[in-house]
Amino acid sequence: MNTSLRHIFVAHLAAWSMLFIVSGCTFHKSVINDEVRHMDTSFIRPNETTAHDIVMRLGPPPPPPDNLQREKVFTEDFLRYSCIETKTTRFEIGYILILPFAWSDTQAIDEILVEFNPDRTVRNVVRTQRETRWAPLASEESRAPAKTQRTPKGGTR
Amino acid sequence: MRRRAIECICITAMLMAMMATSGCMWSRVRMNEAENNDMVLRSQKVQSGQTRNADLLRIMGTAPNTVTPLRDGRQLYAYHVADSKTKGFSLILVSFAKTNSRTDSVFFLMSPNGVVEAAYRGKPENIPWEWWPFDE
Repeated sequence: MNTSLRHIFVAHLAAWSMLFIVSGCTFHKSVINDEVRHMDTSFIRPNETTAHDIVMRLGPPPPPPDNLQREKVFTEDFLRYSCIETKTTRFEIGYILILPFAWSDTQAIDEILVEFNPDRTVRNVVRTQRETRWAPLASEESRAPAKTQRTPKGGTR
Repeated sequence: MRRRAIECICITAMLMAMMATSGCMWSRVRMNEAENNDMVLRSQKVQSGQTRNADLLRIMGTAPNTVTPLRDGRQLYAYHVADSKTKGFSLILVSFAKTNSRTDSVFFLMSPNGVVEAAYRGKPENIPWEWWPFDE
């Protein structure tokens, strides 16, 4: 084998090896119960609207997905509707051994909490919206603060 | 000339390998759901004020996932279903994937004497297959 052919062979072998060793990066987004983001809660009137009215209009609150959150979504005292988003960035090196270079950010990006009086009328409604970020490409400081709306304003009666 | 030919073959082989190893992937996970909206369709056979506890179990096919006792002696039966769709697109060095999931419940309000007083169900909608993760 002459020298130039050997150089070509080595160059291609190196390129192939790189392709197999660096398998790349993955961007994955997961959205659970996206419909919560589009729910209109303007019909809810404190001390008038009942739990029955809310469940008839919005449907039962979606159950939490396993392993994400274990808290209840309904009791006699409250209903909770949540949309949960996860952004994961993964740098994968190697085919046989994948090194754990993965960053993940999970947030309840839209959460509606309806609290009830003992007579099952609405006491107040709290809606919180948050942002997820692509870690490590976006820093924690770049995340906008959570927005919270409370009805009636100022809290419970 | 021979060197050029070898280079061409190598580059073509690399491109073909890249094409062959990149691609799409789909994944679907369903929980407590034999067919689409099966639980919701079953729940529509339940008649408020008439269906009794034993009939409810027969219609729904299973016991509820959760039973919540209420203060006045009534109970809230909840059946849960979930559907999840993942689609991905891989280009060897970079991959994109998105998972859309939906969880739903059907609630039955049971009177103290075991009769369905009211049924509450959501409006199940199909969740889309999407692979681009940078949408809003």
